[in-house]
Amino acid sequence: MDVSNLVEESNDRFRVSSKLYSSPEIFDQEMRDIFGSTWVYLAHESQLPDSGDYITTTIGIQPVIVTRLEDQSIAVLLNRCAHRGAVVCREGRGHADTFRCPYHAWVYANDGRLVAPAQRTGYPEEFQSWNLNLDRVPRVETYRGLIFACISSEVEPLSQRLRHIKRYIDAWDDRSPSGHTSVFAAVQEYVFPGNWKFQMENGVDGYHGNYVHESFAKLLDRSGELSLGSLTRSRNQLGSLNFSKGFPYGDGLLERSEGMLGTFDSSRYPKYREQLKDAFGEERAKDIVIQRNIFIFPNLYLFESHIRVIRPLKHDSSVVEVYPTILGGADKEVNSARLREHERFFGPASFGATDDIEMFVSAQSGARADYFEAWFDMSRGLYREKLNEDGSRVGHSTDEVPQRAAYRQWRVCMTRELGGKGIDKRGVAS
Amino acid sequence: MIRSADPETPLLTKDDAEDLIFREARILDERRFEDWLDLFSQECLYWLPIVDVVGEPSLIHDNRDAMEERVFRLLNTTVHAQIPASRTQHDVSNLEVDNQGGGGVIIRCNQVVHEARIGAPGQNGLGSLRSIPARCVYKVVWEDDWKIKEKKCLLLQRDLPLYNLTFIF
Ligand code: FES
Ligand SMILES: [Fe+2]
Repeated sequence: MDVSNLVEESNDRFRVSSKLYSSPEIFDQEMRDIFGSTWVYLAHESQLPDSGDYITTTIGIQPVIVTRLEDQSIAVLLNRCAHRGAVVCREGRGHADTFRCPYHAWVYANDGRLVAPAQRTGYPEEFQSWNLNLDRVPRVETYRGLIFACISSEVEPLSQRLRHIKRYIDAWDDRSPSGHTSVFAAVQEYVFPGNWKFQMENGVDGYHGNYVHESFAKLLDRSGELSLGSLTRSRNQLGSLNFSKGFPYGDGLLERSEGMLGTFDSSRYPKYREQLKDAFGEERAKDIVIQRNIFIFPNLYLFESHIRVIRPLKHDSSVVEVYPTILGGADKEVNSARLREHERFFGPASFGATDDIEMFVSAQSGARADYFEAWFDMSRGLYREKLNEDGSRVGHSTDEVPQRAAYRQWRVCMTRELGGKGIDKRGVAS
Repeated sequence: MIRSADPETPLLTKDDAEDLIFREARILDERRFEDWLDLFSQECLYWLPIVDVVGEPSLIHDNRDAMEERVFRLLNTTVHAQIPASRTQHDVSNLEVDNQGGGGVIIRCNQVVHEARIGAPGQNGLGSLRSIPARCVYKVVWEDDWKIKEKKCLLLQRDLPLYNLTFIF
């Protein structure tokens, strides 16, 4: 399928084809050209505190083991026995120095090296030189505790990849006064019958809140936390404190001075605010507490209360993993208030995110109605979005600036072999 | 004869326990959510853990205020995840009563909530039956009637990816 025409952009119009959600072929290509060739988020370092700790996850749909080695470095192994393909680890997380394939008992060290095949004498002398090890994902780097990997070795260093979005990641991570953010053991997981990109679009979508989350706003109104009128007014306001941003590489940002729904209000905890001032200074502390949703293409969100990971399963089926965070150095009271407020809005039984998921499922059903040319329109605010020198674009908080950034990068990845335009592998705008 | 730990508290018989849990099941299936709140004592907890550890993130961790908010949301706001609304059937089994349970009277039972959302044919998320099993533990107290102080449901799928639990379990 020729994918170059599936994302269309002109001066003031931007749209993507319905096929991006409904086509299994597009999905397969995404797994190869996006998840198989760019930096993908895998786990937070606090999930693997000690050497020998591991978790299993996927890069796209490829099963991998993320493990901490003896020297504290992190290795990512394809979870696939070099003999006849059985996965060598079936657990979600654990501690192991070796992985023993359940099928014919080949044993691998946790850096992927084959230690010994069972009944070695069945193989010739030169067996050793066949290098039947677990495949090791060539690029693994971390930034601020976030572990990323890339299946392709042809990729720029992570720090370069993240250079536009870094300052926001730093502010997010600095919400911990002691500089130590960690995740809880329990993970909230959603599965939904819809394409993964619906979640990609939604976390930085400032347009839907007044409608999809009217229910939640009514709860805030009922409890006296926020009046419905003031919420709607502040959202519709054009101003520098409320904006959306899109970045090269497809990252996005939604920033709201008045706060996001379902996030804990740190101004109610003066001691915590003091701690931030002490740790980072007054100016910096102000920046740190600004409410932002940060998207890092293709599969990571940093929300005030949690890390969110998108895991595509099929073109019409996806998992979203939500890892609430603990702010090291903050009082227990602060962390538990954050968690309760988080649970109120997020999770498969919550008062907020459940309604978002319903929209993804609804749009997946709609994507089937493609008898005529079917497009998903993302033009909102294109005519007024501002292009900065660093390649980032900024617009009104309800504009589809971040979504366009993500799909521009989607097109770059998916048409690379056709000489795709935009950010090339070295991150230079062409 | 078994006596309850607290002399002020009458003994909860298995019949009493069944009355209470079956009534709750019917009230929920009839979507009488305000009446459901009346089954609980003033200070109470409705808890669906992910891991059965206090202080960890949960699917639901509602105190009385949050339960009232949950019911208010279902009855008085536009809940997209409940359009069309869930039709439920709570099946209760394996019920046991423990009058000596630590800190109060405990009812343990298994429940399977069968759930379906009936709407436009052929749309994702609608039109199929889900059956969600859980082990439930109720702490009940005597307040001139038996009231639920805590309802904890350990879903069999509690630490698996889940879809739309916006009905009341
Ligand atoms: S498949 Fe792993 S040892 Fe045979
Ligand atoms: Fe939302």
